[in-house]
Amino acid sequence: MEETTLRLIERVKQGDRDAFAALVDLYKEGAFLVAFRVLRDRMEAEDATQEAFIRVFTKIESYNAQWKFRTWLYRIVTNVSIDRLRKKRPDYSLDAEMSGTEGLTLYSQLESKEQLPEDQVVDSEQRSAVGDAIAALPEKYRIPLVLKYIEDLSLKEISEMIDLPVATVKTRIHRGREALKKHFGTR
Amino acid sequence: MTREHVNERIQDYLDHNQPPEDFKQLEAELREANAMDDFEEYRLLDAQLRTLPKPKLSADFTSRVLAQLPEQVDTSNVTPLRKPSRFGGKMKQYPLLAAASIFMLLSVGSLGGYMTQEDKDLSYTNIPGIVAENGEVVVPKGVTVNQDLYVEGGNVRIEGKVNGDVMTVDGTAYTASAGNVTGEIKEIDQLFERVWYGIKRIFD
Repeated sequence: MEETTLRLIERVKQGDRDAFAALVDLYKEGAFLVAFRVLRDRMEAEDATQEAFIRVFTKIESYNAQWKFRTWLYRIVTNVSIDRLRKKRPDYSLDAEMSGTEGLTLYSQLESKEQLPEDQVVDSEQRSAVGDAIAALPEKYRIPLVLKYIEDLSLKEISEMIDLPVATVKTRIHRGREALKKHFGTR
Repeated sequence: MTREHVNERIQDYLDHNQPPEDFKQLEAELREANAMDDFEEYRLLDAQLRTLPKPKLSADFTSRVLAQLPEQVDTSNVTPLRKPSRFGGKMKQYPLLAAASIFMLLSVGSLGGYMTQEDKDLSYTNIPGIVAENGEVVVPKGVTVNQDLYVEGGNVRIEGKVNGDVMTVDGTAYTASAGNVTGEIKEIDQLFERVWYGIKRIFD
């Protein structure tokens, strides 16, 4: 796969759009998962992935083959996603269609006493006990931890993606797991 | 082993994606430290993290990305496969000159069709050694031209060598192999571009 990737990149550097399409097809699912894990919202994640790929296309010249392409791409995806995460923050319209649903607006949620609109937004990452517990983690633990569980990324790759030393990444993943375990242990 | 230490051991184990060689030993240590429950809890958590939902991308994702790509990539440090037409670019770069050239075009147009008449004839820089046959100018093998070559109203075939630019109007330049022409190959096939070339010469 690495060799195919390098060949495609060479062609993309010459402006070959078909080669770029092939490159997108090879890596899009993984890239999307990274964005989704960070943003926890399907549509936001899709937009972020799209933005990241466009950056890849315009910056392909600066790609250095010493990096694994996957790492380089995921790094861009992570950065775009974190930027969006920070910009995002509530400004929800009741009329807006909720992401991950079809034709469902927040109005439809007002009847229900059990579920507040805020929870409904979180809901786009299908509700699960672990999902909720992860959402409650501080960002600095949450992001390394969720990245760890994508395609078995190594600590080194994660450290390159988020610009932190391997030791820090490791500590944060451990703290994250520990917090989750405590959360469940008290039940 | 302290509790802290036990936890680190378990977590290190989880960080690696394959069971380590000393898995049996780890188990024994944990049993001894009475930490098997912790271990199970961590393993359960690990399994849950592995099975977090993995949504699929929309089917049209790739085509949407392609549709959003910028028209022009920054290819400043890329060798283009083919020399792009420099006239289109210059048009945008110098709108004033473009306007002037359109003015020129109109005035030339009003002068009548004298130029279109001329286009049919083959004319070229007269350099000893080059031949014209069947409406085509040929730089034969072994012939070296040490100046710019200008051919109008026909194709040019370069089998020898040209130490200079090759310029064709209403024709195409064919080279037997790359590097036969040390200068640039310019193909101009429109009256307008020809007028433009004239203007460019004045400004250069």
